[in-house]
Amino acid sequence: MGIIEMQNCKKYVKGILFAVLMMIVGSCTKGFEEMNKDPNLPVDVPAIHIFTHALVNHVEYESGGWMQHSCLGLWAQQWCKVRYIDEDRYMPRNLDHYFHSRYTNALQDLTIVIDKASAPQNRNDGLLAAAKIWRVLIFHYLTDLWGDVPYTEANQGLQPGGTIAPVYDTQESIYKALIAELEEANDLLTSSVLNFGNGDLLFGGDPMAWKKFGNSLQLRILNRVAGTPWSFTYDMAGGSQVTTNAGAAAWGEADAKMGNILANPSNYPVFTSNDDNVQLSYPGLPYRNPIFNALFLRTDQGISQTMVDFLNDRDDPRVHIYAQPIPKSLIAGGEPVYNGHQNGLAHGAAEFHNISLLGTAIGYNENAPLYVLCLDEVEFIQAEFYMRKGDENKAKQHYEAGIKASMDRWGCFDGSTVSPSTKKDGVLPFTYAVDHAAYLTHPLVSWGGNTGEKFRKILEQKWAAMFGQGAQAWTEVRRTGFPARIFEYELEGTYYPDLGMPVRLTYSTAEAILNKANLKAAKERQHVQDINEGLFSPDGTKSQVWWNTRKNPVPTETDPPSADMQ
Amino acid sequence: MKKITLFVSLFLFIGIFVAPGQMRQISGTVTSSEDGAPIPGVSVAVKGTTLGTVTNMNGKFALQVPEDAGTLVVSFVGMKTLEITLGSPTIYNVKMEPDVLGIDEVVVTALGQTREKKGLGYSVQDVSGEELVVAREPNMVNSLQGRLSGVQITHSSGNVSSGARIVIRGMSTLSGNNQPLFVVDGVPVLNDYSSVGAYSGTDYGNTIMDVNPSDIAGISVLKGANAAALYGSRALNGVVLITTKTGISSSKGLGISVENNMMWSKPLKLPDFQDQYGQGYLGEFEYVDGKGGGTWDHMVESWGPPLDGRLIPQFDSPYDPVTKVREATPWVAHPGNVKNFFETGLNRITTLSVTRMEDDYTFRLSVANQGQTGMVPNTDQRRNTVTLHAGLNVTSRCKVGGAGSFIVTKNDNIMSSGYTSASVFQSVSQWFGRQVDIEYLKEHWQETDPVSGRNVNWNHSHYDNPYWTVHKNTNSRTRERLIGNVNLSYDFTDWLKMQAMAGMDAYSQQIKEVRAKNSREWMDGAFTNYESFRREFTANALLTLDKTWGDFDVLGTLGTEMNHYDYRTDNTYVSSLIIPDLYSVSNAASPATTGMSEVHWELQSVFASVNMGFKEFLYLDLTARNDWSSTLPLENNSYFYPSASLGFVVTEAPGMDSGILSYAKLRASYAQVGGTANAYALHGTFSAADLFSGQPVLTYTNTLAPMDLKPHQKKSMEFGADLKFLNNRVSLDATYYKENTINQIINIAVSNTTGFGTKTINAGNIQNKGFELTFNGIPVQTKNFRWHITANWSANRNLVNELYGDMEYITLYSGSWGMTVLARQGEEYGQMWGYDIVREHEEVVYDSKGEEAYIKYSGKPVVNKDGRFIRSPYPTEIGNISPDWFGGVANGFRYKNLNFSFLIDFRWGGDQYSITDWFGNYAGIMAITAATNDKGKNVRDPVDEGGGVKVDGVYGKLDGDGRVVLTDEEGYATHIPVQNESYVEANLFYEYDYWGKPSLSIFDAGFVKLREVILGYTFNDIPCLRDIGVKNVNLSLVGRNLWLIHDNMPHVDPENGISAGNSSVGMNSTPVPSARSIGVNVKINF
Repeated sequence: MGIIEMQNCKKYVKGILFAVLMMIVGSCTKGFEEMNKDPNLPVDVPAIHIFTHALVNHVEYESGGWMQHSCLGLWAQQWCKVRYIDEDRYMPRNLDHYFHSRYTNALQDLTIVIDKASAPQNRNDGLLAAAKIWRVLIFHYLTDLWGDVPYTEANQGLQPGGTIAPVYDTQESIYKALIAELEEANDLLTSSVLNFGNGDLLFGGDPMAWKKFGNSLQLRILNRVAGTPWSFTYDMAGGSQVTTNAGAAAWGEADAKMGNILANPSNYPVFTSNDDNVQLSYPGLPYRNPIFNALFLRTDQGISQTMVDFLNDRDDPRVHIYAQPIPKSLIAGGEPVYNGHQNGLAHGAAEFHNISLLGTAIGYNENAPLYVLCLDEVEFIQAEFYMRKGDENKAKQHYEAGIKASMDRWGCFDGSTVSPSTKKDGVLPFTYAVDHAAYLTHPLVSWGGNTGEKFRKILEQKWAAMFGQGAQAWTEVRRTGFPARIFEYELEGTYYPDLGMPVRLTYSTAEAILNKANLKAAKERQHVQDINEGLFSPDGTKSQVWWNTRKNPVPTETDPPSADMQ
Repeated sequence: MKKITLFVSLFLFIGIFVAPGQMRQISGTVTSSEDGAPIPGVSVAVKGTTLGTVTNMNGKFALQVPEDAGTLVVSFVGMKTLEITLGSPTIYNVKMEPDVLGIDEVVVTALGQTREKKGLGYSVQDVSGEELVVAREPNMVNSLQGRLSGVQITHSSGNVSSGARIVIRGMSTLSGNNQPLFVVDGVPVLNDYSSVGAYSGTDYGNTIMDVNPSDIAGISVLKGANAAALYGSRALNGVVLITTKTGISSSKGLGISVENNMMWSKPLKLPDFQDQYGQGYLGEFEYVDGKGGGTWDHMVESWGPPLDGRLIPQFDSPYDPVTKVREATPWVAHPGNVKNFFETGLNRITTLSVTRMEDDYTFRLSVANQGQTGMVPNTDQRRNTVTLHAGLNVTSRCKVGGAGSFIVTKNDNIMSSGYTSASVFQSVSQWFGRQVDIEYLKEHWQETDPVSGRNVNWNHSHYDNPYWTVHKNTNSRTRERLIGNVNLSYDFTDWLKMQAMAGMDAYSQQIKEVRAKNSREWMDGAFTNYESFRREFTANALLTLDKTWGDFDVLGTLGTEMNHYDYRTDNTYVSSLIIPDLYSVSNAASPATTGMSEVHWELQSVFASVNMGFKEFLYLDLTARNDWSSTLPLENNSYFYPSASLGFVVTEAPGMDSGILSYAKLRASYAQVGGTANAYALHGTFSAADLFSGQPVLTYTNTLAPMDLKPHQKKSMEFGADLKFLNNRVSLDATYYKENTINQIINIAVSNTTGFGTKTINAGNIQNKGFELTFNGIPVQTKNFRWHITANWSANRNLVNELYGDMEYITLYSGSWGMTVLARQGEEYGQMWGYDIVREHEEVVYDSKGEEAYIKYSGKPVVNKDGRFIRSPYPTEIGNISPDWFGGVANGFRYKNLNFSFLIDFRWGGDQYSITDWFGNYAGIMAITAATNDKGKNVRDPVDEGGGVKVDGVYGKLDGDGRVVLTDEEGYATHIPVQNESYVEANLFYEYDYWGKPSLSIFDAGFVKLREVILGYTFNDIPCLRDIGVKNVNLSLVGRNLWLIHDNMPHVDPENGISAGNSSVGMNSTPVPSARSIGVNVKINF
């Protein structure tokens, strides 16, 4: 190969080189803005789709998530864990995520939905009201479990100048604000409001259904602060007795407001049928019932002995739905046997095959609905309300309607038959004929006894009906002291002996860093203890949440282990 | 303004063009002074110009030089550089002397410039390709272990394709990548790695492992920002420059070499299991269906009956299908059941290379084939690499060249890692029955259990047969990759040159993770298929000036560069299958879900550098670079950063007399590097979940978008001294550095009650300061024998100087099972955080505002009157992931043609949370759970019969404020500690007392390891082979990771981690044990 001399074109080469260099140097940044536009994800979407997420997310969280199946469902002594029982002994894992995720998920979704639905150009009253109601439901959940929580300054992340350290509002102010919001939503939902679409997975965008939901939710909220005007004597293990006194109404106007709602059904329609229930049914993959998903791979959950005993004692048909017979009773043939597992009890005494698992319709059906607020609860709330008012006839009527609503909801229709089912072998050749009237005459069910006993019947039936709504059930247990059995024995194996039942959940440890001053103020004013995870109130009612004005008994004798196991 | 001035002055330099004068040809031969043999590959260059060539295989060179050329520089790695004054002769025969310690060593620096080490004002360390190939690691990065100061390498496991993590001078960022940029022949290449957390995932390794070590001529590590400043943003964590072999280094004419390397592997360290108790609970066990039908047969723990030969129905007992009864069989230990699960791994690599060099062109073609079978059954890797390197002199001034590697990697199966049933070792070394006969499982995995209807296994509530898992639930991968470049250089004059290069690294990858129908976790079968494509394109142009003016040598560079990155991925997930074993969308029993995503970014840069040498003793380097990044806001997307370094060779300075100090250099440098954000970080977006009954489900991001994002910045200072003594027989290099990374683009946690978990901001100041020492010595050197020691030692202190506002800590990642890793203001990076047990000494740690931050415990455990641990009331510091110091010592011996070397490396400090230990104890599988107590009884015996665990602790309790109160055995407060005498039931102790207290399984991850041993012999002139053209044959016996001389970690090699990613440092979770490998390497040169 010869060497080509380029002497004479050197000048040009120099010129070209300079031109090339100058062209390349810092010249091609014009497309950068376009290049940095996210090609994968939208920056804006219609509000209804965000609302759908808020619904799916919260139903799963409240009734299908870890808080239900591994913590509060256990603390309500409806469910139990047969393995890895730390939560059953009041030692929850770090709860930060369960507190945070409400704000960062459903509540943030709803903040955006409310913003969009109230913007003048896209005003959508149906969606706006529904979003407000759903947001109230979530805030109510949060404040009942934790007490004071951020509310007025919460979810301001996207707001220009919004705070990044929201104050913790007092539970009292939150309650009052929630009621005001529900009133606002009720006013928005007039008959002229249009259906807002199928993105509403609960009611298909029906404004009137949401109106009933909003008012029924108002009843739930008001009832919680209306006081527990009965004293009750607990027969403690070891033979002693403890009497607890009536709890004062935290909000004096609660009963009046409830009365106002119940007296004006045209302005304040509430649930009257199981069709009104707030429940989400799962279509199957990719959305399977989350309890099914949790139990699909492992069997850690069973039914609590407290619940099984309650049902067995009353010859209650729901036992066949709530629980599976123990394997041993299948082998023996004949009648199914249901054994609950004592919450918190170590492995030792409880042999796995001697414990009833959750019923197949609860835990092993991928399409099973999850419940948020149902007719039975609304009926029992009314029963309790009329008891407080001294109208025992109406109280009885709603008590019995509540029982019937619950039986119907769980498929125990009057005159029908139910069969036990097991995960393993399907339906057993055993059927049970449901007879509502007979049930209502059972000595432990039939209306009667003194005032305290009547309240007890209403509230224990309410607790039994709310199977799978652990957060609400546990909150009611704290408020009312029922079912009494929970307070008669100390939890075997509790991590915190002599402290009774937790009164609230542990505040977020991350908030203690990221929102330090506000959390500190909230803990101080609520007397939240810094030891024992801040779960207990050893000093009277001092550290209990605002509406929790009754002090539940603190038993010291532990439950006799597996005394009534078969 | 400053930068403009700099550019203008550089342009002025370039403007002074001088026409070259008449040229003439010179030639000669370069030989070794030791044996007179010709030396190929020697660089011969006209001083102060870019004119040069290299010698051919016969040591000959020929070069066109200007008539007025004054000095010829002859240099070669390992030889003393010579300067030869040119006179009228045209033939120059040169004898080169070995440079025992590389005083005139040349190293590859930024932009691929080869420079004399003595002219550098910062530290650069290199490793020759030879060091990587003899004792091979399947992952090339692991070969660097122990050889480089300041470079920490962590391999993740002994699994096939497992990743290796490389961190230079500590972790400098609070989020994102802490690993260096890899550059192959001037082209930045992708080193994507699997970030597998402690819970689950599959470690597909890090992609730089695709490069075939046989193709590597050398690796040069630019440690500080100082060395790397010219690489811009992505060099924030240093640069690993890989130079591949070209045709230049071989003979004129044809050269052929064949190399074959085979390494056999066995686990280096296995957990310490007990063999006294079998599966079960509370001493009971009876197998019926393996999922709760029998007594504790669902439990995957070993708290069952003693393995004393008693008769118990077991999973492998004879089964009567009529009576449905399993016969009771002897209940005995199978001590080797985990060890026997592993097979002997084999990694075989054969490389054939053909080179040719002629006057006008050079050429190298190599073809390599790797076949690897893992220690885990049915895991493998096959890789084929074809690399072509060619250069052509178009004219005497114009050269073009190109290189390309096409690499195809295939794995039929890479076993999953972490805490998942797909990771077999999670079961067998943690949740297992010690009575299980692994041979039975191996022989029967394809059979169906008559009761469960699934694969025959010892348990059906949690696991599949491990052989089922590795054969049926596989993770396969195919990656096809092209790394290449084309380049052109043009010499305008003998001192001014232009180069332009365009290079690319692109790969497409398919990963298919299949789960067979009838697996415990995947009854319906499932699969995920990921298809991805990545490409990084780099183009640059450089103008280089290299000239001597009087006493000044000047090397100036002006350049511009563009990087463009594209990524696309598509994935398909199917959660149930119609018929078994067919993993396609057409076989889906439920709708397939899919995902797609793409990312694009670009970086534009201009840069300039001037290196000036004065009288060969004073050197000044100045560099400047400006980047424009597509990922930053328009108004902040341009950022400038300079560097300066000074080298002073004391012994060369006028008037210096060296004495026993044969060489001394002092160096100092300062540099800044800027860094950019990830793509699409500027706006919040909605993401979609699956449709719910046909309805779209969308939610807003959890991260608040930044308002005014700026580039982040690293400021780095470095001082050093290079000293050589005793006529260069001993050398010591010492470097001190201090680097601060500020304005980091991070997602800080904000109160979640704002609706957001994190917010992207600029914040933080992470400091790394440390010392690095490198020692070289030749204790003995005679004509036939040589002993060479090289050693390095480095210590780095990684401090969190500042976070954001009054924020006390940032969670770097949430480790697992109660252990979180934090960056806490004022403390060392990588604090491990979680619940401790209470101990006798409490120390209150205050934060920067003087408030009580947490309480740290030390001393003996405090136990309650039952002898049980007390959990700390709050989480506290329970360790730190950063090692205190580490290093390596290599000894090499050569006697005639025989060579022997070994490398020992070590690490001191740095903690690791062993989930292996924690759950292994919980499950009663580890030896300690069946140990003998101080009464001579097994700890599992009942306490009232003399058994139980006694903690070496003191009695005490917590008061209402959570403070420790020492007590006596009755529980009454005391001032004098009372030694614990209470025994706890072993089962209670290892289950409930361990639960929720990660600190009980945190161990020091320091170690001393015999890393490598090589024994080699070179056969020259073998009679029968000589005739077929074989010049010589080198045969080496090699071993890697041979002996863990010392460590403090139970059960696991402390080097084992989880993956090469950021978020798994400081943990191990039943990794596939690291491999002890022994092998042979044969290299035949034709």
